[in-house]
Amino acid sequence: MSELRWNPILEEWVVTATHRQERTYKPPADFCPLCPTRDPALPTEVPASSYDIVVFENKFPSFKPDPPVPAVEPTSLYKVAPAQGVCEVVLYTPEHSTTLTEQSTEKITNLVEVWTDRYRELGSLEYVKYVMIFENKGDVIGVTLHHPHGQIYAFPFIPPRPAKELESSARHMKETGRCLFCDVIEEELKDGRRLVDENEDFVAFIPFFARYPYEVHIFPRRHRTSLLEFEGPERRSFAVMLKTIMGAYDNLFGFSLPYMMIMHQAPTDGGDYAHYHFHVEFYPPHRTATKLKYLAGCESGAGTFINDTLPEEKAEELRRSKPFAL
Amino acid sequence: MAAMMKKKRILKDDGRYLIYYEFPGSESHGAPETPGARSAGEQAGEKSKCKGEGRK
Repeated sequence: MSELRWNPILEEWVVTATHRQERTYKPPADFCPLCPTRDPALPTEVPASSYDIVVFENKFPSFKPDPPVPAVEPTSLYKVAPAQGVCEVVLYTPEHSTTLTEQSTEKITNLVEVWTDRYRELGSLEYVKYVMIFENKGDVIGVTLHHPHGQIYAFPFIPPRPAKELESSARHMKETGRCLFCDVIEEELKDGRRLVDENEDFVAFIPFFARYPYEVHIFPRRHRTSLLEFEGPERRSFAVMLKTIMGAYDNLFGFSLPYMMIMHQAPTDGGDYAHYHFHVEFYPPHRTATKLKYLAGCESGAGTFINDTLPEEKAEELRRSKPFAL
Repeated sequence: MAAMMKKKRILKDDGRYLIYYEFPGSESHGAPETPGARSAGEQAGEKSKCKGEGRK
């Protein structure tokens, strides 16, 4: 059963996807469904003995290209809609016991090309309004398969958080004639205390308003609305920056740091989003090596985050943790 | 998309698509080698009758 249910109070959609209760849960490495098929008698999701990078439709999707008719009838207050969209899984490597961080810069550059292709293809579907590329990493995030992989959700609507970013940046553009995100980048570069790393094409910092202790945002210096606008060496520069930040995360406490990594790109609903600025946001849940940041009463109930740390201090820790050479 | 990237799309037995992305210089073996995979061209317009569950 899968459908969209409208919350008229918060004015947002909730996806009901009951079949996801049955999804594969932490299988042993010998039975990983994301590894290549090495024994035809035991097929995995990938019917090949090896691969570079693979993308496939999620077996337990929240959205489907041909969704079922909603199981409940709408009312004048409660709108209901089919959960039409696409959910994909992106396999970074055939190796089971590794992470994105451990991939070469060249491999991550290749992955950037794949992400770009998926954004283009999924965004061209008439019913897809927003393409979100993301990775959940680590048990504490709720990951059910340990093989290194990311996901892509092609939404039939613009989700609330990107919608809010689009609204504020459109207003800022109207009032000042400038890109809000370009102004944030300039502010962070000017201050400098929250910078984690910068290269010719990208800037990484823990923003002034960070919600998580080690929340890093990566922005292209030039105004790009999506991966499609990256030019020349920008894809490789982006890969270098991703590897640097993820390397700093892993050096921070001496273990592979769990995180959520989310790419923020312009919607694909045909609108004009020239005011928007591509970026990546990392949300690692750890606030120390042994303590986690939980989304408790204030965060979940009020929507207001309490950050127990200072971004200026955490950025300094991450600067010290950066790998020396890539 | 860079000209060097190769993309091969297949349909699995349960009707879901899978795309192999291959890059020169890597040790890829993207072509399907085991049962359960046919090219999208082979399956164009055809709905799968088999509900292969894979190893789950």
